[in-house]
Amino acid sequence: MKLASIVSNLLHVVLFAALTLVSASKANAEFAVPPLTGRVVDAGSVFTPDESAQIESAILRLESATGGQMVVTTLPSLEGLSIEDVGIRLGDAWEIGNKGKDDGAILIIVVPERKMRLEVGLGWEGPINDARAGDVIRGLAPFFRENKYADGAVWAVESVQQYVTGKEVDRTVSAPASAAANTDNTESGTEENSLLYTILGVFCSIPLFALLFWCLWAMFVIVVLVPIWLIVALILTLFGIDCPFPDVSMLLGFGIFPVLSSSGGGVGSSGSGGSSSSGGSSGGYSGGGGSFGGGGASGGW
Amino acid sequence: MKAFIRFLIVLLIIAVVIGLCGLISYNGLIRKDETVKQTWSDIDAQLQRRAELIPNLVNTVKGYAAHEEKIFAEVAQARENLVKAATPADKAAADAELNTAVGRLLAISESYPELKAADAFVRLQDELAGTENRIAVARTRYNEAVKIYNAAIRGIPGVYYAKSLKLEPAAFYEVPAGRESVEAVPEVQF
Repeated sequence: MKLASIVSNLLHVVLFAALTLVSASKANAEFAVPPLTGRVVDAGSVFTPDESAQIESAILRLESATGGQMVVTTLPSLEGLSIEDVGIRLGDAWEIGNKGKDDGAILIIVVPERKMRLEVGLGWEGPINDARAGDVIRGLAPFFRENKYADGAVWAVESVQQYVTGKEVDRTVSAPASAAANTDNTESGTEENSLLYTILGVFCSIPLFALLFWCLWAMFVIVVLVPIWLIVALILTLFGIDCPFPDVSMLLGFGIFPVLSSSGGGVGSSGSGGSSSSGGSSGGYSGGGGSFGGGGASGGW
Repeated sequence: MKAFIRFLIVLLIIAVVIGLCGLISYNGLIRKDETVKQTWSDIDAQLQRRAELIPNLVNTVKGYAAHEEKIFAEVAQARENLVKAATPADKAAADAELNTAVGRLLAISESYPELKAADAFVRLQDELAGTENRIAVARTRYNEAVKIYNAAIRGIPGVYYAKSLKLEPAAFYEVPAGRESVEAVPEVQF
């Protein structure tokens, strides 16, 4: 059976390469969510390290006063999306706020496009209703017009704290005396692009011929490995964790590779919006599992 | 004899495997259906919220521009249509109508500077914009859930027993082109 084993190894390599390529391209096809490196994610390189530290300490005060989470982020560009769209993607990817309580907020500042948004988590939509979020946005415009981005961010964090706790906060920055802000609102729209399973389908049909050559190997997989995988999947499903189960094309196509993909093809994850899969957390700070519903306000300056 | 028993055992294992497949698939299908229902009720809740904001908006504008009767009537009619709509398609169409009507209402403020600057009006615009965004998010999540659910119903092995479970493909919530939101109307600048 030497020929069969060579053929099967080759096929596995090809399939694995194809899968990695396709999933990598899918992940990068849209807006890339920056990794959640901390409470201040300065992807747009706006703040000095001192300013980041200043904003972070304001956020720490907010966290101890409210129990929730907040992140201030700057972005170099919106990459053609509306800021509302970016806001919900960040919310879905970072999961700021505690699970169940959804007490989180994200302040997004995009300096090159002069746009900002305060994305409010589901749990804070009560104390920070849209009108108050609008007030924060309008209050930020005078800061940003004078390029005082860090001061503005601190002011916004303190305002959020004040709204949530209902108590006056000792302000560490004062608002510059300027005219009221411009606000503009843009629509959000998303696109779905799923080439993945067309390509997988093509690659899955190749092994149908391979099966002729390595029946014994396939029988081993079906009789031994798959039931083990199924039992594990069943247990996980009972716990509410969605798991891919082997359907016919997968069995034929992947032999010993359980494909752990998370969308489409008869196997799905529970609806969580169309966000990209990059942007996990690192460095000890992570979102608490909070969810967002699209509340908040946007504006420009 | 031994070979025959082994054959039976293999057959049994395969039957168990298929059974487990079916079970997991069934659970998954039910869960996807529930997700579709839940995301739909999210959209409904946001549309409801927007419908509740509208009377406040109309009253605020009336306070400053009482004689724009025609537009108030349009808004009232559109709002009623939305409340009466039932299916996703109807709701999407009624929603678009209401968007256009409310857009015209907001545009009135261009001719009335006191209205434009009025605190109540500004806050209502914030609320409207926020609700519009929530509708957009809810709509995206619903359509995503529908996509996953429809794929499961129409794929293997769902297609074999979806009908016997009375699971029908769900409809997408599509907004008629060109009428996506209130913001498609000229913006109000301060």
